[in-house]
Amino acid sequence: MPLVLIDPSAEEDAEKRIGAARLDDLKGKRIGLLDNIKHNAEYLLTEVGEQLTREYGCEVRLIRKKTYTKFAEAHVLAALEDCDAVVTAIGD
Amino acid sequence: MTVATRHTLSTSDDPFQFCYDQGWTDGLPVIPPTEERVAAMLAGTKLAPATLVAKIPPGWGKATVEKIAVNCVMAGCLPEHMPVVIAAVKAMTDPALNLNGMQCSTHLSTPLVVVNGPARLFLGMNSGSNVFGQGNRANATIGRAVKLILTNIGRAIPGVTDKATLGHPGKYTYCIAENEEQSPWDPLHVERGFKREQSTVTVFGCEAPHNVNNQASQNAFDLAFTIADTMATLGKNMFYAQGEVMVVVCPSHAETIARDGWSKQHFKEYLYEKARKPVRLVKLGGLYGREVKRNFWPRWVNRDDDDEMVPLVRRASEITIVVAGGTGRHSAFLPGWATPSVTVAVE
Repeated sequence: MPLVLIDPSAEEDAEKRIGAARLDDLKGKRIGLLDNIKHNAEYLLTEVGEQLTREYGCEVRLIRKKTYTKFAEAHVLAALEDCDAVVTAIGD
Repeated sequence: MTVATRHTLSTSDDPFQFCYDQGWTDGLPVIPPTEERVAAMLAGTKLAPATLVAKIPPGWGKATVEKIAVNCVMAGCLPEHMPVVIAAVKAMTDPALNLNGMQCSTHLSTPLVVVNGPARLFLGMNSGSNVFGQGNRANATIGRAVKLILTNIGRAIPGVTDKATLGHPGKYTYCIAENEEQSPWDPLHVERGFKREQSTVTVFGCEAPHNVNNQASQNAFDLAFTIADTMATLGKNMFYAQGEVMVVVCPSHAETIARDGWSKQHFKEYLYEKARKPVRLVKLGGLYGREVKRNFWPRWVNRDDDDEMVPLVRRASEITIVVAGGTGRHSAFLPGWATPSVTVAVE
């Protein structure tokens, strides 16, 4: 009799994360900057925002999470909802 | 009706190597989870195999009773361990623990399981000598099953989704029982409103135990000061993110403290008052910066006064005391990650 083992890991029906659709062009787009409040995140995002505004005429919107360890709060997600794209920072 | 995938091995497959090759193990050999072994494990619970106990982050995989049983088999558990492991899964997925953050963090914290009540005796758990160490099947395999569940069902893959810079040995197994028989105080579960004859599991995300060696002090003040001094160190999350800490007190230390008339509450209050560091030192490192300015510290801490003493946690109730261990005068401090412990009944 062949040995049959039962799989211990999460089955394929576990929730999948799919990346957001990429923009073809940045020109004039509304870009959310999600600051997770890790050290230096705001400096990096501020610089990114300035470049996006200067070079592509983007409208940028900086939003802060309360803490980097938890999901973004509902009001934070709501404020990003009408953005064309979101840039977040920072990983360690 | 069960849904877990079955893998049929060829006659040339070594089942131990097969389990390792699938990425199912912690690096040590596991008991191959055959259908027969899993069926026997499922006899340890009245819950149906398809029952969903929780979803485990960061992958949010479904921890059904069957999946938990498969991991229990691999860890080397006995069927009677199942209810404790199921309770641990419930406790560690309580949102208060923020398991998602803990599993992915660069910090090395991992869930510790503390068992209280008659289950300790029924399962022959170790609450005495070498309580954090090797040698007891229930402690070792219950703790190991929890860790296999975190990686296999939760998909906290080392270096991929589990981004711990160092990790810690408790990521293999991390499970103790309280030494209720040698404690001068109410055990943890009674303190938290459970009946003494109930069995509970408390899960706490924490670092490895830091030893507190005090063989000299024969009074509560001197002994508790040594513990407070061990607690008040800068490299912990506590001075920055606050949260909860645990002190595992050996029976002999507990007896010395209680002999001076200190209740567990007195002991906690002393530690809360003494385990502090001045603002000027706290500023030197850790997570000091933007998070601290967001008022994780109690309001009464004057951030502009360099000599102000910052408490390790926000209040005395965030210092959890567990009595465990055997003969000798060594206790341990277990710094937290930043979130509270959670206690649930074993059903």
